[in-house]
Amino acid sequence: MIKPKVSIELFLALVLLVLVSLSTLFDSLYHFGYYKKPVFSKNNIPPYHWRINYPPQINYLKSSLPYLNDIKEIDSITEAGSVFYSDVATSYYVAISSKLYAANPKSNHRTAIDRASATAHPSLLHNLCHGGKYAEQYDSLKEYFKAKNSENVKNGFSPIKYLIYNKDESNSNLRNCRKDQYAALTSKLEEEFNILFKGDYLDLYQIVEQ
Amino acid sequence: MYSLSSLAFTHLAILYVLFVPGVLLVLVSMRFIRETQVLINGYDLLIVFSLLFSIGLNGAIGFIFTKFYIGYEHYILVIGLIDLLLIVALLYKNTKVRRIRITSNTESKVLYIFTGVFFIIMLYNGGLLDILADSWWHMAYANRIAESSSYILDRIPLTGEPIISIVYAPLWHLQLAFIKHVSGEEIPYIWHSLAPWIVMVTIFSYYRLASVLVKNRWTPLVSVMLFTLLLGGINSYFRVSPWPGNVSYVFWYLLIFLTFRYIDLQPDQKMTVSTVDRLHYLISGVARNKYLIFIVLLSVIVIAGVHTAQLIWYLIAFLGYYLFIRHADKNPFISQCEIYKDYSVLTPIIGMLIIVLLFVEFYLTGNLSIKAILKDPKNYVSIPIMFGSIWLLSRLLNQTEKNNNYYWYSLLAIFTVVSLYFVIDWGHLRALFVPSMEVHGRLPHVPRVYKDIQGVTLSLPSWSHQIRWGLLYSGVLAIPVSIYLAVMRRDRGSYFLASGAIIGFLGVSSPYYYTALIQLIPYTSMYRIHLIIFTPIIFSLFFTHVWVLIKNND
Repeated sequence: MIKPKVSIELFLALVLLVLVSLSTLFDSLYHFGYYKKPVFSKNNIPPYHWRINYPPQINYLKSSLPYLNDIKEIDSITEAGSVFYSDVATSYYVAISSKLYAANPKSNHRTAIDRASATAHPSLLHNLCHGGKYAEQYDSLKEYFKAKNSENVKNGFSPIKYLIYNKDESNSNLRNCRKDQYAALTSKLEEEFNILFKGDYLDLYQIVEQ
Repeated sequence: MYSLSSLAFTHLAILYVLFVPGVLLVLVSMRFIRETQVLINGYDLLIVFSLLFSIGLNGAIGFIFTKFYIGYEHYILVIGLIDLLLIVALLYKNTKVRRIRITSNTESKVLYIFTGVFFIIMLYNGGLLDILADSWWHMAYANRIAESSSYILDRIPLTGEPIISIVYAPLWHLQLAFIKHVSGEEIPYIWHSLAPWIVMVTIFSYYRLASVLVKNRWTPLVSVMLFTLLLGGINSYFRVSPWPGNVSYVFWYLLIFLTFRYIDLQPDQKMTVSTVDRLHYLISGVARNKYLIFIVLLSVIVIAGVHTAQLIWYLIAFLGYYLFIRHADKNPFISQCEIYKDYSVLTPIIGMLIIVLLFVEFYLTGNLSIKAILKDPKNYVSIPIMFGSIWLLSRLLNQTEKNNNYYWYSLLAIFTVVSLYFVIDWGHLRALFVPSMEVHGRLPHVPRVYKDIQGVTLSLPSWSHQIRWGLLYSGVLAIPVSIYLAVMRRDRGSYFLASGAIIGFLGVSSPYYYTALIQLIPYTSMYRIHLIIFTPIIFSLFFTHVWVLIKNND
């Protein structure tokens, strides 16, 4: 009888070794920039893993860092502790580096009954670019915010005093208007509210008079 | 682009707040306490301890400042004075230890070089993500703490609704607030710059975890390299390292390392030792290793203050290991007294931990959740099935046809396999590989309802919430590899890794396990149980095992 040269244990080990090595190799290739998503991935992985060729300017351009000078200015001319409305991303960017509070965070950062649920629609600014869907039942945006603020006050929350519009086009987190829509939107905002500050990226409007 | 001066100030402030006080505290303790000479045997551990001590000290300062309404802007001065006092203590000559010795062997030096290279990679990868993730909420929280000089806020950090409470374990956000005051820079700069520092400490801590499980010169180093290369669960997301959860992993690994280190320092014991003797061993062990116990307690406090859930993974990992070695005395192949000792020392520790947890819960809430657990009918099904199947697996793992009746062994094997067939939801498991088959909950992080054949309502997690990325394919592959290693090696490392891998995997694929385990933690977070599958260590141990096997086969 021929004696097998390889033991069952070794055979099993070698089979597993091939699988483990392949898995390690393909995971590594993602880190080293050979694939945009992991080879065997069943869904796109958000950019949580390090990559050797990760361009650091992406972090910069898609964060609040370009707007810090504008936020500093806004912080100095607004009333500390008051509430502003902006798109979702700018709500975070401004709240993190100022004394203002955001009325429009992501849904998972809202409390069960809070100001945000009683205030303007999360995509108000975006929708305004496409025909003002959420404001049309009111005569004007001013009326719209007035109604929302009376709800807020009734529920024991402070009113939304400011509106901040972020005109940056390089940050995909903002999902704001296109350049050609921006002019129409700003003229509408300027028509209805006092403009307090016009920065490189951020414009500040006053919703409630001091 | 980035302001270079802002980045430079931020990095200096991180060193000043998170490392300098800790390094000085550890060095001073090394001059005054002889026990430290044995425990701190590498620069990697010195740095991990430094972060731990710094966070602990800053937590105490934050507590005093908040309690006595002292502005956080005074931190820079207070910590400077403390550092000065520590330097004076360090220069004091009449101490127990004349000279601090920290040695470095070849593999340690390779580890430092590897970590150094990785530090540079993480410097430009950074901690800020290009998507709108929850990190921005944490930054808002840190900003409000810095502004108000208090970790007890009167308004919800982001939206400003009135509240007077602690909204999230604030210890890590407090550190960020101090860094903000020291550097004068905005939180996003700090968040971005923290990534290389936290990754460095995470790598060191993971190295120690691997080294206590696999007592081999090079395998822990391979584990660390695989840790950086494999795409795993949230603990492998290095660009998320400034998040409180990821910071707490540093101390989670450290806590497992220290627990095994404590066991290693105990005299050998047999499984037949009485409970009274075990308690005696525990008390004398605590008395002999005061410094180690202090570090353990500090780690527990820091984890509780940074991200409390990590303590649950620690408890589950050790409870699982304990249950898997429960029948080790039936196994004649376990020649090392290591496992006997682990079992013997862990028995009073786990008993004590459970009593302490019940006491703490009763003290804090005036209630015991065990009462509600016992009242819920679904737990009559899920908990016995979970413990029953673990008992079967443990018996099977420690039973061999050589030390027992062949028929009994075969029967046990068949019964275990059949039981597991009914414990796992195969449709759910298939959906791991075929996303289109998945039945979603209300939101990705909210578990979905599952009805078993008896009509009992149970829960299952959604694969799409991080678990799929954590398991495909390295994580899934780690399960059979860990079982192979446990059967072939039968030592501490392989048993600990296999128990973690099996429970971690069943925890997300079996409705009985998932439902039983969510009694321990808010149910939306239990999917993270897959973190106890330590894939990089399993793979590195496997590579070593195969290498030895091939060499011996020549």
